[in-house]
Amino acid sequence: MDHSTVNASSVYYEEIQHENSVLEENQWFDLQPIEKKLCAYSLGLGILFLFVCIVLFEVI
Amino acid sequence: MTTYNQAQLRQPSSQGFLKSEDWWAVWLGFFISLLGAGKIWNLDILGWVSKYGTWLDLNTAIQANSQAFAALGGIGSAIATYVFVLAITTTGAYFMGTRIRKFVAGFTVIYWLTVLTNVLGNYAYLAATPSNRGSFGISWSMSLGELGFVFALIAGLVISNFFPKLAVFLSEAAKPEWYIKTGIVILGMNIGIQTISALSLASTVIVRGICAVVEAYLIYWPIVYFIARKFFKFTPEWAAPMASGISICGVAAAIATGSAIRSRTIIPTILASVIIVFVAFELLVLPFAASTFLTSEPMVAGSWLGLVVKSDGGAVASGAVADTLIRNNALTQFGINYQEGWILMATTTAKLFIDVFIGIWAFILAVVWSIYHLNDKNAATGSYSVSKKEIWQRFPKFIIGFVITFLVVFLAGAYEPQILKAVKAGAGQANLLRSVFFGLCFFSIGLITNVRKLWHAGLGRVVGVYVVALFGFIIWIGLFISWLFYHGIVPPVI
Repeated sequence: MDHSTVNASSVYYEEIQHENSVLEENQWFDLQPIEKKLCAYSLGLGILFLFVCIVLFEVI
Repeated sequence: MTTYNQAQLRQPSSQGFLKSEDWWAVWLGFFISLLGAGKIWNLDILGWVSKYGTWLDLNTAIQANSQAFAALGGIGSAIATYVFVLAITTTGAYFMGTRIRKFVAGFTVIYWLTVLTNVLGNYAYLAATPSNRGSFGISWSMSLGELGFVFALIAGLVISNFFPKLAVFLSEAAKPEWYIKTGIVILGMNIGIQTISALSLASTVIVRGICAVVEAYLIYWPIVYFIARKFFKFTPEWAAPMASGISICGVAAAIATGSAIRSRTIIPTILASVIIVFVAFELLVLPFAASTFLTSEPMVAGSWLGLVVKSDGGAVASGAVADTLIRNNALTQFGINYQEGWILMATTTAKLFIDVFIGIWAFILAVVWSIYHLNDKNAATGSYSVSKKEIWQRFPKFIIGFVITFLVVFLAGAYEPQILKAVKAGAGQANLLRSVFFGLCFFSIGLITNVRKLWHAGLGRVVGVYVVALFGFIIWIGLFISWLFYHGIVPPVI
């Protein structure tokens, strides 16, 4: 194996290592305020919309 | 090796209209959509594109999609498709500064391997759904639709893990981000035409279908995201595509969300593979459950399957099975003969508006992730402002391509209803090329994945979130929402 092949292979596998590191727990960090806000708004809108639909389709 | 590097995946690529993968995905997507639209003027420009069908006789595995090009045969159409896709991707690769000879060589191998995996994935005993087994004269099949993508991924994995020299050789053409984004721009055309076609369906089904989808998405997404982040310790880069994919939308949503937030392409691909396996389970079990417990509420059953079965093909197939089973049950139990197709319509309507909603949701997530850099631990946990210019630079441009193809087709169909049939046929042809790009993406991902390390790192957790979400609340909330919007509504009686 010549030098260029060795070099290409090592770069390739460094990239693979990096790509596969995404599942590791040590990269985890707690929910950020914007994530909480996104979830809260989505769920809040969903529940609000649920009541609106119940009123529209069941009551009226 | 210069072509496939992490910097390309993690950072906004070069911003020039002719330099970035994002913009080239838009150009290729537009070009293919435009060729498909040739049908409006009776030009069968994409009639030679390969169409993969479920097969028992290998000679029928690949065909040109148009009868006008039937003389090409399967191999001929596969070659024509290869030449076309090679030509347009090589043009893009040239402008993006890729080494062309290596790209062409690598692309050639990748393309033909994905042809092989596609054919294998469509073998009748693997792919035939319960509703079309009869046409093949077989009594059983595994109903694993879209298995060709999984095989492409596995082929890439095998090469990556056991043939490292070959993997290095192919890596110049392994551009998963580019392939998947191009596919999504083309997808815009298909969803646009499906939406306009659906407007001709019964208004009650449409209105309630839209409400059910919006409702389900708004509730499912944050819960799955929260569970994945808080209890399964996934990063936002994983949790967002997972929430989109697992909640209701499946493969397309995981991929679109992954691209929108600029996650590494391995993430939506791994998720898509898990989803495809679960779809097989859902397809085998849920239509029969629906026919057993929801015979008196047939439209609830149809909508429920649309919300719970997480791939377009799987959902439609399950809706078709449920349509037949429930009508038979209703006739036997109550002596009521429902008109065929309405249960399936409820399923397809739910699925269709889910696909539309994916675009909207991906857009919102793209903006949030562009501003808050949630894929980067340091940036996300720090506090710093970001300029409008940077938001634009980080914004995934292919989303714009998706929205434009969707809107152009939708508005054209709305204003010129007489072109609908032609556009639908053209969108179908373009969609075949979308599948080609998706296959190339799956293979490319396999090529950069070390499966053993991935599993040890926690792939099992992905399955964990899926099981908890599916059995914990997705099935039940989906059932409640479907009941809320469709209870008491029944198909016309013959």
